[in-house]
Amino acid sequence: MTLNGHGLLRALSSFNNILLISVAIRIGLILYSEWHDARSVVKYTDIDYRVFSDAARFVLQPSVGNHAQGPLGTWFSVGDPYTRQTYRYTPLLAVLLTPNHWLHPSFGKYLFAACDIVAGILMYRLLVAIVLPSITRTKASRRPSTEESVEDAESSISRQASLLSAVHLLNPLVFSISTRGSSESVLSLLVLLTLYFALKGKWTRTAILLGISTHWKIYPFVYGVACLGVIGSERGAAKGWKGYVGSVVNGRTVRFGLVSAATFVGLGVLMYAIWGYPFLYESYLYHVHRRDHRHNFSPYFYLIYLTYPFEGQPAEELPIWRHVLRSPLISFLPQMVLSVGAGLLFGRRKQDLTFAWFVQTFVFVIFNKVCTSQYFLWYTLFLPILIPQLSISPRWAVLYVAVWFGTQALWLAEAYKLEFLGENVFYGLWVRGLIYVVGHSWVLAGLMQAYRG
Amino acid sequence: MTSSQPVLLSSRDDDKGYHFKYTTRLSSPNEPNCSIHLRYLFPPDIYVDPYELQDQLRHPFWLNDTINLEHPVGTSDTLSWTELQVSLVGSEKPDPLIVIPLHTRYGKPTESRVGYITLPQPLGLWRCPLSDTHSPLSSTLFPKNGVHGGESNAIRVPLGLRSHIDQVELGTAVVVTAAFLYLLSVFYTTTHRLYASGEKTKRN
Repeated sequence: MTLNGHGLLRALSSFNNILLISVAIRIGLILYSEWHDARSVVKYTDIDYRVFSDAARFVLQPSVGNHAQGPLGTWFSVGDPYTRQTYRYTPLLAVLLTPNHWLHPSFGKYLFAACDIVAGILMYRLLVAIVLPSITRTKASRRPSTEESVEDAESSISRQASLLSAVHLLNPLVFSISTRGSSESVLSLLVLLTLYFALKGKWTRTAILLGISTHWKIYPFVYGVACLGVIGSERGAAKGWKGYVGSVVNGRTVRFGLVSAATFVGLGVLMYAIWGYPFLYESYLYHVHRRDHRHNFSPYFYLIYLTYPFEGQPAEELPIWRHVLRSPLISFLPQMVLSVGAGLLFGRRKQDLTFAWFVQTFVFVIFNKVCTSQYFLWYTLFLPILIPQLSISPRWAVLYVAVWFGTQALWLAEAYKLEFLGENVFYGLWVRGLIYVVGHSWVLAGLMQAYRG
Repeated sequence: MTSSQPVLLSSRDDDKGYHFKYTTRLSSPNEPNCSIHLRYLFPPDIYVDPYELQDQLRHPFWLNDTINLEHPVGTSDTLSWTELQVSLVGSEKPDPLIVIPLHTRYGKPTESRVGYITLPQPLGLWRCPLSDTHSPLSSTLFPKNGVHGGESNAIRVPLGLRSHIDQVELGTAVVVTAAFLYLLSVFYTTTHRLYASGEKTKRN
């Protein structure tokens, strides 16, 4: 390795340096985005940021045709964020971004970038306090410890934790998404906080944060399933099926479920009280019946497009199994079986919680009826914490990364032809969507087989 | 009233892809007190994003309510034409260029690989005050026949093929099911490896 390489590695081994670089990159990109967007028709800022900002403006500026529609809406004298077309998020996000209009238009971007940074800090603390010491203890138990080797171990843990946190903090996908104004980092932070308290065994806080995360976006509810087994196993479990059921359903897990559900329902009731049915529909109900007919990674898109209920189209007489296959709800079956199943199967020991949540999220994304690049952040978030528990040779690691990226690149190349060149490549795009499902399933299987616990 | 008339011609920058610019070139007499108003009618196959217009169009405009930006053409929400009106005051630069970003919706699947969307030329209204300031404005439509038409612009769009339905239905079901069963088997072997060996250790 060259001198420059050594210097770079030394710099990246210090978490403070990584934090400084991460903050500088994000501030630089946000400032650049302001300069770029003022001068170019093609914006750096994501279209979603415009959606959030507009929704925030509608909240701040109630008017005729724009008012909160809940029973308590008039008490609060606020506008309706759902006046903004395509705003399908919790009203809390719009409220959070109201400073965009009275403080600075880039406030939201700074907020999302800050969430990235805090997430990175949480990862580092989890790695230093829990994950790496448990692995180091296992290795150290095989040889006598001395004061020097303890110090070396602590120093080594800190270096490793810094490098692993850098996988998130210095990941171009992560910092470009937050500085472009996507709100994914808020949910990432909520999920990581939930995991943080779960790994520390603080189950009440975990339950509350799980409720908040699920309010923010529905899918984190699956993590609660994995938590049940871990909570139950802390008091020991009897053998066999009875013992397993007893570990999942007992006083402590019921309490956990009730606290989490109460948080989720409480937030939902409050939002409904102010913003009414539009909140319920746009935040939750829409996603149950949505038909994403436009091309995306999921192979379901082409079937949805071809069988879209166009006006005036005569109803086809089909056997019942084909009606079932065409239902917008059918995709939930494999998705929920695998996602919930992974929680039940792998949520048995606290040390496996990160792995369980990773697998649950990965299958959720693979089998979702719509998938865009941002969805991958939902599970890559766990990688820095999970990597120390994986045993993969460099050759296989390269292969997994190549297949993971390669299947996406294959799809993107075809999607470009459709979207920007207008070529009829629907069929080819659908085939590549199938390859994406197969490729990502294979990568997940490999990572599962590499997990050592 | 001025004797000369403005002339307009609209064209799209590209005839492929789902996103393009519709550019109207105006050749207008230099009358600072006159204003030009353009009226565009777009078929249901086209959608106009009002938020994008706010960012990119430098002139006051009015757009009839566009709902469901995400739907394909041919649903109950996407049967109507879109009307866009743009105003240019006389103090604008001579021969202004009006650029409108447009997007095509997915078309109804057919047995044909491509479909064509026709974009009619916009209609213009040229309004000038008479010499007597108490008189109403005089207005002139252009093109002279006052109807949308003239040279129109055709856009080619790819369409899904209905003949693919059976293959896509079966193929999606088979691959998703295969991936599902494959991962279930990996779940089983991983669970056995992680927890069965732990139970054996406890028993020993």
